[in-house]
Order: sequence, then C-alpha cells, then structure tokens
Amino acid sequence: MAHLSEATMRRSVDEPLALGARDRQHLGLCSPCAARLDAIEVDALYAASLLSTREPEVNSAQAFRSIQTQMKREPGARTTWFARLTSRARARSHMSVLASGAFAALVAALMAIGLTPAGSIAQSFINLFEPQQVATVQLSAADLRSLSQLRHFGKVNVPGSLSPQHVADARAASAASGMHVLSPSFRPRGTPSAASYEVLGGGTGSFTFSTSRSKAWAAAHHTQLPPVPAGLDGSTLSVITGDTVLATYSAGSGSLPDLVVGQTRAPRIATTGASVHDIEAYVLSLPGLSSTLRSQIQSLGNPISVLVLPVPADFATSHPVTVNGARGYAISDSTGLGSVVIWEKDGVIYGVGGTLSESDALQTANSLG
Amino acid sequence: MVSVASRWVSLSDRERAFEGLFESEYSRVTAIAYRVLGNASESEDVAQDVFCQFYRLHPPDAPYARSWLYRAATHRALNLIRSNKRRAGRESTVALEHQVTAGAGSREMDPSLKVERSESERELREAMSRLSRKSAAVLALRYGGLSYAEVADALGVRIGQVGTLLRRAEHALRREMNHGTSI
Repeated sequence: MAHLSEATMRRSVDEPLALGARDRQHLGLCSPCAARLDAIEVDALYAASLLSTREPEVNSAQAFRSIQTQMKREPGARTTWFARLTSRARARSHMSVLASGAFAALVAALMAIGLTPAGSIAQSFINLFEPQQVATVQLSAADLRSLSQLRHFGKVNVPGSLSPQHVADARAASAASGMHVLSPSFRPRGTPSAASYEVLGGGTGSFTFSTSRSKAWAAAHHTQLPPVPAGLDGSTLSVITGDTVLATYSAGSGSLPDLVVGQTRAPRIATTGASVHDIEAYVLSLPGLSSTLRSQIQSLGNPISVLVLPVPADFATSHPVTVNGARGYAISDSTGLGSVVIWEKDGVIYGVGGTLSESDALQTANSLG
Repeated sequence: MVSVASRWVSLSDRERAFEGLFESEYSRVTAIAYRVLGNASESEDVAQDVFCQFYRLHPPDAPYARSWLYRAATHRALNLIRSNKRRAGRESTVALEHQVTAGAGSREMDPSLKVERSESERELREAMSRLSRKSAAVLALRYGGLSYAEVADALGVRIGQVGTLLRRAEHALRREMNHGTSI
C-alpha cells in the first residue's frame, strides 16, 4: 500500500476522525509514515502554540464609526444607514454570543462526561478518572484555553470514528449496549412521548507524555519546565469508554432537542509507566495552567475516584443536587436556554438535558426507571 | 420617477447586503490580520480598510465576497508587516498588549518575563515576514479560524493542496524561529 501523503497526514492532525480505516491501519504498521506524522504533529503544535493566540477583542461600534468616517470621504457614499447598522449589529451580536455561548456550555458539559466519547483533547485529558462520584470545576475562558495547551506536552489519540446505531426503542438499546436503559415516566409539558434511540460504541483515547514535545513548547515560549520525573517520558494514560445510549425527544425541526436522556458506563482507566497520581502531579505543575484551575483540581482529592465536569464559568452555573438518592450536579446556562442534570449510580453515568428548566430536568431525572 | 425608485431600492439592498457581510465577517477578517500583525488595533485598521475597499469596488452579495475579504486582509497585513516604517511603533504596542494580557491571566507578571514575551512576539512577526507570501498567508488564514475549504477558496487552490501548504508553512515557520534561516 502506498504511503500516506503529506496533505493527508497534516489534515489528520486537525481532524483525526477524517483518517480512514485503511489509512489508520497503514499508519499503525508503517514506521516511516508514523515517524513523518510525528514530525508533522510537532511542527503543527509548535505553530499552534505561537499562532493560536487570544482573539482580539473587536469593537464593532467603533469599527462602524471608523468606516463611516472613511466612507464619508467617498463621493456618492450614503451614510444614513450606519447609525441603524451600528445599533442593530451591537444588539444582535450581543444576543447571539450569549445564546451560542450558553448552548456551547451545555454541549461541553455533556461531552465532558463521555456521552460523546470522541471528545476534545481537553476532555481526553481531564476525564482520566474512574469515577465513583462527580464534581464540577468552574472554568473561565482562560482556563479552557490553558487546558488546550496540554496537548503540547504529549501525544493525544482520540477514539476512532463513531457511527451511531439507530435502534427502535429502549429495549433494543438495552440489548445493543448491555446496559439496562432507563426511561422517564415524567416529561416536561410539550415534549413528545416518542424518542429516537441511538447507541454509540465505546472507544479508547490515550495521552502519552512526551519530554521532547514539552521541551519544544518550553523553548518556543522561552520558559523553563519543572524537572521531569524519572519514568514519566512515554507514560501513557488510556481511557476506555463504554457504549452510550442517547434518547432524543424532539418535537420540532430546530437544532436544539427538547429533551435528551443519556447514559454510559463510567470510563475506565489504564496506565503504562508512571501512575495516575504522578502524571497528574506533574501536569498540574506545568506552566500555562491557571492557578485557579490547578487549585480546583487539586482540591478534588483522589483523581481516580472523581469524574471532573468542566463547567464554563462565563456561560453556565452548577450546584449539587440529589437524584434518586445519588449525588449529582445541575448545570444551567446563564441565559435560561437549557439545563443538564448529571449523576452517577452503580457505575453508570446518567445525564438529562435539553431546552428545559432545571426543575423540569430534575423532575425528569428523578422519574427515570 | 421609476428610475429614482429603482435606484433607491437598489441602494437599500446594497447597504443591507453589506451590513450582513460586515456583521458576519468583520471579527474573522480582523482575526486573520491579527495572526500576521499581532496587534489588535492595526488588525482592525486592516479589516476596515479591506471592507471599505470591497464596498467601493464590488457588489456585497458577490459569491466571492468572503474569500476576497480574507485574501485581501492577509495580503494587506503582510504588506504592513514588511514595511519597516511602522515596526518601531508596533513593537512598543505589542509589548504593551502582552503586559495587559499576561496581567489578566497571571495577576502580577515578572518584568523579565514580560520582556521575554515581547521579544518572542517580535521574533514571530519577523519570522512571518520572512516566509514566502503563500506560506504566511496559509498560516494566517488557517489559524485565523478558516476551514480547509475556506482556505482553499481564499488562496485559489484545490482543497487537497491546503494540507501540503500548511505542512510546509509550519515547518518553515519552525525553522525560521529556531534558526533564523529561510527555506
């Protein structure tokens, strides 16, 4: 089989799931291609560390005024629409940012517990724990950015492409996933009674710490890394996620479902080389992580017993709740667009969310049986 | 009378179309310029110049509008960074912006670290200015948030070429930063 092209390998760095099964297989068997891909990734990460910078804060109103001034100098230009444009654009952009941000927070929260196992790199890293309970950390936008920096310290492999299997009902979902799939006896008013069921296969994601990558990042940023403990280089943490069942209740054709009920087996963790504790301790000592995030994670205690749910502080709030006797968290977006309730019981993580109020989400969650 | 009404309608439609284009693309055009310049104020200047130029020369609902704006912003920013006249002013502003950014994230920053970051920022801009125009452009466009398809449109290449261009540009950037030699 022909070697992979440079273009294919570079694109796979940005879109790992775009790599076809045959190419993935080739990559696993072909040392020269694996080495080329590694070099491509190092260069890409280096460029990203320099160029994936904080976005400039755009002042649209000021921009319009500047353009107005420039356009006035132009013969035949009409400027009457600029005032209207300014006020409308300001109002619209403010609302859309709030709405999209709030929904993104909910999506992030759902992804964080592994309901969609092919999650982000940050997810791969922070969900390394076999949970017996859940806890939340409030992440600011800066914290989220700092989390994404972690990929510069090692190699991340995300699970292969997922193809959801549509099944007829809860019974079929139970048979396909091996879990007893729960259904709500209560649904908020207006929610359709019929749900569409999907079963997503589990996968394995991993993070391999790399001293050379870490040093490359440090050199690019003219900073010093803490001494790397013996045995850490090449240590791998693997996260094995189980099947996930999603039941979606949606009345309209809108992009946001009315209600989603999901459940998945708690992820399991496997390590080679250093222990989870050692890797966590070193990663938390790396530069780039905000001190707030660092202290929040450290305060959670035993990392193999707590599933961390990252909650974007700017867009959502969370607080503990009790669902059927189990401790969980309710996460609500800051604009009232929707809510999610997440809890863990008997090795299964459950989530109920959608465009509904927190009380409705909680009542729905308590009715699962 | 009919011609006056038609002209009014035409003008209104044009303004409305430009309004939509501005709203949807201004922040992105600024972000692309920012990847080259590293300076928010200059990036906004570039974006506004580009929008004004586009408004004067093209219909705002043209199918090529977005790719034209992206390409124009990239080239204008590259022209600017290669101009020595503004370099001194840019460096001082970049240093100031870094202090503000770093201060927000890490409370009080070591002054020596501020100097190092400013120096690192200056090295990056110089490295970008030494890259080939196409390499610098693909970096600005991709890290400015464009998809592979959008980068291909803006550069006028096939989508299959974007990965290769990006790979070569990133390799060249690393070499420029590490060795200060062009490839």
